[in-house]
Amino acid sequence: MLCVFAIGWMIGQSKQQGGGETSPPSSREIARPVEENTADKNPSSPKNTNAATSPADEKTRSLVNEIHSAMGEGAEQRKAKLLPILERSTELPLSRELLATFQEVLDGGDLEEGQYVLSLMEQREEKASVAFLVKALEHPQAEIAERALFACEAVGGTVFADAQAARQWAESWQPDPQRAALFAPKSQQDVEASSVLPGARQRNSTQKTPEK
Amino acid sequence: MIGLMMATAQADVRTYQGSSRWSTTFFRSNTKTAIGTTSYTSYTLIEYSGSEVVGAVKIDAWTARNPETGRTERNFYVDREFAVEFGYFGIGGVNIGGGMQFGGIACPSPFRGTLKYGDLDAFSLYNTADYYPNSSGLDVIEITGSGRYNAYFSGNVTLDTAENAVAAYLESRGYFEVF
Repeated sequence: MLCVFAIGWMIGQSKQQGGGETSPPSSREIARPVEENTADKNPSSPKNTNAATSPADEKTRSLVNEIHSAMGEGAEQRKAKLLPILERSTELPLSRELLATFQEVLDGGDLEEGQYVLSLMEQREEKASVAFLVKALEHPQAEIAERALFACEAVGGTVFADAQAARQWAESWQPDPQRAALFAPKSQQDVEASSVLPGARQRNSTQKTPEK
Repeated sequence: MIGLMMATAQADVRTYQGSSRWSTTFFRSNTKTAIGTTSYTSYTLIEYSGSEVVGAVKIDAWTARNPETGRTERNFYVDREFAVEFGYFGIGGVNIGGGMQFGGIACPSPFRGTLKYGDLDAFSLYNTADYYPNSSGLDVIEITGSGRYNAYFSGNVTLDTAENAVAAYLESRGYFEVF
């Protein structure tokens, strides 16, 4: 496993591929959770420009600014800064501004950054996040499109024959409130409480992993 | 003896597919030198015999650029040291929680799941941190990550069969097993 992590580290050290830098959007919007009935139309076109600012809006705007700042870094620094910032987006509602920013990262040309964004979206249980994944099925980078299919399969809990099957699944997919609660960010107290349980069961290991 | 045979006959493997994200902090010469972040598509295979967990395997698949060749490679790794322990909790035992341990990692990672027809259905792997003591003698000082998994296959098969099925599926998509 450490070997696998080491690979991740090496990736972090490697140079960014392709045209990874994109310009920030010319217009800024107020961050709002995406409305369910419009989420899958075009998540990258901001419309909600006059809404009031909430604490979540402020956090989103601050995060988006950090993402843009990191994307402006040189290849050596960019990924190491960008990915931890992206990670923090899991604590925020999925707004149009956030979706548009994710799309910028996805279209930035860097494979690992794009896959990481899809992984973040995969962790959510929302119509807008699934719509984002479905749109990514048509991404010009084959690796990104394939990772999007994996993500759809993870959300759906099934295996799709192809991208078209995933699109059909997404048309009728509805968020499961129980899973939405399950996958929502938890406080540290919740995490600790869930790890100490009576009646735990232990497997019997009979196989040995090869040395790495 | 009969009970044992029946338990063996009831061996059942449940496979959960999902994604996990990990961030690793590397530390050298008392200086934090790098944070590596990686995302995996993962399969967690749990084998039951009756109500007992008798085997578990985790398969991680990822895409990465090989810095030596400059090419993007698709790989997967089968973690046969993976272990899971859990219990039921909540009113009427309506939820599942416990810990998972991966090969080469010293500390269990907590998870919480939901039930479907009395069995583990979806589960979420929570953030974990500080697997290793903060020592200049260690390269990795912190690993954090989280993931989500949905059950997508369940059947009366052996763990090897389920593992081979996942491996064949990944290989059909151009992934190669690494050791």
